[in-house]
Amino acid sequence: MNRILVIAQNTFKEAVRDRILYSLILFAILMIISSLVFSTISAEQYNKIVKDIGLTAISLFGIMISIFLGMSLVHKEIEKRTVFNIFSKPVRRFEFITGKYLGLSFTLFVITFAMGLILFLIVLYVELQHGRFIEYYYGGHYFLEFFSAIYFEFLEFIVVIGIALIFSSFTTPVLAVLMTFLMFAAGRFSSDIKLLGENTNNLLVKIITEFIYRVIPNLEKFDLRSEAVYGGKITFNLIFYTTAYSLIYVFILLILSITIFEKREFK
Amino acid sequence: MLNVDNLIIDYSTGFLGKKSRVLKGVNFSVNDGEIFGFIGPNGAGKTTTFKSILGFITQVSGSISIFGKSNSDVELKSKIGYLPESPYFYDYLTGNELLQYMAKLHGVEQPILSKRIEDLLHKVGMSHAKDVQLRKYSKGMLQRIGIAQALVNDPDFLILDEPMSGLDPRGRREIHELILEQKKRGKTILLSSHILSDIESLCDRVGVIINGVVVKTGILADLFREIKTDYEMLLNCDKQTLLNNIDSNTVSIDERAGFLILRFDESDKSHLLKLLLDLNAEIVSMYPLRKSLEGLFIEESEKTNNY
Repeated sequence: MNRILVIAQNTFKEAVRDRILYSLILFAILMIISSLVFSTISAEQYNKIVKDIGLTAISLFGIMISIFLGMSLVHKEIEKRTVFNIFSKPVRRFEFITGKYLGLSFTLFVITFAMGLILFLIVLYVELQHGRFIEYYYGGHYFLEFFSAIYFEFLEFIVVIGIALIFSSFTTPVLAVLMTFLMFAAGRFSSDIKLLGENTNNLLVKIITEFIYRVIPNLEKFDLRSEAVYGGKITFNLIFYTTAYSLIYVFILLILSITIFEKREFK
Repeated sequence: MLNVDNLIIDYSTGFLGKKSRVLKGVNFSVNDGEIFGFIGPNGAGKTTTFKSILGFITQVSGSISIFGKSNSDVELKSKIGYLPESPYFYDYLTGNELLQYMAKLHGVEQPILSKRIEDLLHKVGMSHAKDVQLRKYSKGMLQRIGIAQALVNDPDFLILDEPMSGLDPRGRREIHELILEQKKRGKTILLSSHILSDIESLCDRVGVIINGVVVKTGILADLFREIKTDYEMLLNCDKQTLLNNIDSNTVSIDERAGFLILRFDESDKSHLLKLLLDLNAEIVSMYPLRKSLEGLFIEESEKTNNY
């Protein structure tokens, strides 16, 4: 356990010292600020635009960081031959993979909630300015929904890191990005894929869409943006089941990555 | 202590995974408390053997045991220190942070951790750069920090792949002393090199690997005794006279700075010296040519071409 945490800690340190990461965070902040500029359209639209653009920006950057850091997670260590230092120590392969995964997940946790907090402060500012309008048009402030939406985005990121990790364990970075992105897109359009299967007469398409729907995680489950803006019922059950859904997927993805990585040779 | 028995390794290359045999039955053993030098030309299989000992590559057949246990036992590695060939480390870490990370993977805890790292940094002469990120390190500095990380668990068995590479003469001497100090403390060391001078004054025994096979093991001096010695002679004499009297098939003649330079081997020595005395030639100097590792490699390669 201790070795897993040591590897996780180092992975986090690497991500924090990576300059690409800083530029992405900076860009995310700029996006949020730009949402303020957009929102000069009308006072009642203000709240919606700030929340919507902000949450979308967090999602976009979180996914980008998850895919790009996720795909290099294992590959970089093999390519740069740092695995020789790790595995000449009494480190088991599952400890390495789990440590790397936890390290990047923790990085995303920090980034997501840092961006969320910045967005919240902007939203709070808007609410103070236009409190009456917001109460009138939307029927509430929906802070609980807002934070749930950010938490759900984080749950989505840790699934995406898991997907990237699998591809990172056996393919090249370019292929890993491509495959992770395809899986991510399929996950985001899960219900459309199901619909396509239901409306087609082609048996092959039916089988393929059914397979994709069943195997690839349904990432639409992690989207609470409209609830954060217009309100909606966020129950304990929804939070519990979505968390469990995410963690079960992560567990399966980790087992797969470890199984692939166990067979890997370091030449 | 280390036994490598008939180790066979294949690498698959290309898209279709065509297999090529890199190690063709490597046999050798390292005894407790000795420094064993693993020598051979580039691409002979030194690094592959080391990687296989550490379990990075799975063998087609053969067995490796360390301290009497199979090398697949992960816990064995707590007694091993390893320096990879041209080591590369996390360039975003400082020297101190790298050593901390590596020590923690070994389960070394505070307060031993800080004290040991401080000692090691001092030993490899890197105390001054401990807070500098590794991306700013030179090749020699990386080599030094690499040796420090190999020692971070105070290992009983050290595997050093080309420990002297990238070091200046002073660095070589320091690392040389450090390796000898480890031996004095009862540690066993397996190191590789393709440079003879690194090996000869350090190793108790050597193994020569060529083309994936260990062709010789033993004491270095014994190995070289078997190789013919060449001589080089600087001569002041008329070239034509000389050419008329010697067999140019066995003696090579060059001219440099007004002198004649003769090269010949042991079997021609006495005959040639006698001849030169008869010709009244002035011998400016004569010395045995350094018996080179290349010479040994070439000789052994010729012998093992059939492998």
